[in-house]
Amino acid sequence: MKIKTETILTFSKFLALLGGVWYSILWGSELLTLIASFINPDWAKHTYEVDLNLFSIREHSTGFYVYAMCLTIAVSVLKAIIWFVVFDLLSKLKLQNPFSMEVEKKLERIAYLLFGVWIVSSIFWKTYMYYLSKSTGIQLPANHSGDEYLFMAGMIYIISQVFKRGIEIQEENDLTV
Amino acid sequence: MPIVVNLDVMMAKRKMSLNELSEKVGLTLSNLSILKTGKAKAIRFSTLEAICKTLDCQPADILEYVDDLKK
Repeated sequence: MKIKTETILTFSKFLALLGGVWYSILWGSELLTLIASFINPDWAKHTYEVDLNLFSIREHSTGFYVYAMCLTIAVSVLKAIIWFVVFDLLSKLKLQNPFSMEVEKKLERIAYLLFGVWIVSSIFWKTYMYYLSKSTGIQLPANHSGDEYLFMAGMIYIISQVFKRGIEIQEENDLTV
Repeated sequence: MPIVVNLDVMMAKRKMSLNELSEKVGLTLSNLSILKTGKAKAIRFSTLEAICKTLDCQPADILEYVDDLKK
């Protein structure tokens, strides 16, 4: 049973690292696309995002295009950071004594980062799409609402608070003579 | 914390070392050290009883309430 849990932990660590590297490559390529599109506007067709062809926006207004690209890059950067924090958390997690303040702080950090992803991908993106359609008439395909990040952030924040209380109880128990 | 542990004072009065008290009370040296340095969050009645019995004193001789604001 113990070996099985350790194997799952090692596998999860590998997956988290893979996720972090994947999103780092993604935001790097998005940044490159943004820079390259200033030299050749045709590059705006390749944003590496599903259903996201920003060429028409680039043709219409550079400001709107740069803003959209910045939002896309910001989401990818945040996702990459989340994966690296998850990797760090899994690396520091000791199965013999999993309740530590370090793990709790990392859980809380993941919750805040997920909340950040929700703000960027939901609020900013929706506002942007509203103003884009209002001023230029261009409609972007709404691929997702982004509300799942708010749900995940809430859940992880609750777990981190339960974790915190668990640590306090453990500490109290350890310091009872 | 407003509760002060005066275990070292009582130990000095009875001329008892930490090792001796540890042996007589049946507490580990690390636990007694936690109690003496004021790091303890709680004390069991059984522990308090054993300490009072060994040092021949009252709980009030070991524990004292000091108001942080009046300090």
